[in-house]
Amino acid sequence: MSGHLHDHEKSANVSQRVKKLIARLEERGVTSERDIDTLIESFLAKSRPENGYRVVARAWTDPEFKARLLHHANEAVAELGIDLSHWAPVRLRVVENTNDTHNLIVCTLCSCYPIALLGPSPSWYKSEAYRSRAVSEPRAVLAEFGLTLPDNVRITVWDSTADARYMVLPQRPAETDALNEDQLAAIVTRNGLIGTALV
Amino acid sequence: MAFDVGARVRTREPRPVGHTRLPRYLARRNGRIVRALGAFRFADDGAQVGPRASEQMLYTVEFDTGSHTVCADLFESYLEAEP
Repeated sequence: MSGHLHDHEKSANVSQRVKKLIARLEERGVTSERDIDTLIESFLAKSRPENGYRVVARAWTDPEFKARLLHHANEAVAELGIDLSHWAPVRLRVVENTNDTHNLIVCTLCSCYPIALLGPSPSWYKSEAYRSRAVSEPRAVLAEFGLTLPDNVRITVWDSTADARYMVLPQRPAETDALNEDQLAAIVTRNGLIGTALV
Repeated sequence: MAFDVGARVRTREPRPVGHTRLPRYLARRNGRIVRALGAFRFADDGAQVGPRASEQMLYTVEFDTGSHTVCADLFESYLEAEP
């Protein structure tokens, strides 16, 4: 309970400071609260997990696209009309799950997340428990998500500490040869792109 | 100093006050450079009131914890060559 109150006080303090800052910017004619809301709304309207699902489905069906995605992700997702150049130059990196490597995404310092590709992040992603335990005991965290990996699978945790954002490229499930790209996109899940689930 | 991919590095102590992007759990640890991401505005200075922060090289650094691997993106000034 005291932890909850503490978090609440912290965010109340931040929102007061943001209000003061916006008031100053309005006084100086730099921007307005309405302009900021419009900017946020237009960004969020384009930010959906379906973007990430399309990227994965294309990578599963087009090996050349997959190669570009793993080495130059910004340029590769731009081919699908996904623009990552909002607010600041974000460097996207897509990390591939294989038979012997499983990837997990976290931001221990705050809650950095590829919103353009996954939509707004789930509340657990921003929790102190996930942020601290994902890097110290990822296997236990995954087990709590219902994902028990074989012992021979090495876990790599990507801590989004700076200007790069990470997305997992899950393994294509067996017996999906008959599915087309749209059908494949429909079986991908948000947690699969964070690494807290397989697809 | 700039680092090559594959170079062994050691992280320094984080700044005692103010903003930093070097998480405490990765302080004074040995790791390996796995990717050079290019030059980005140095976040620690960017969070301070004052002139516009200069750019620094940003690297993805891999740490082996024994049971798993952690990768983090760290600015050049957080790193020194592994002694």
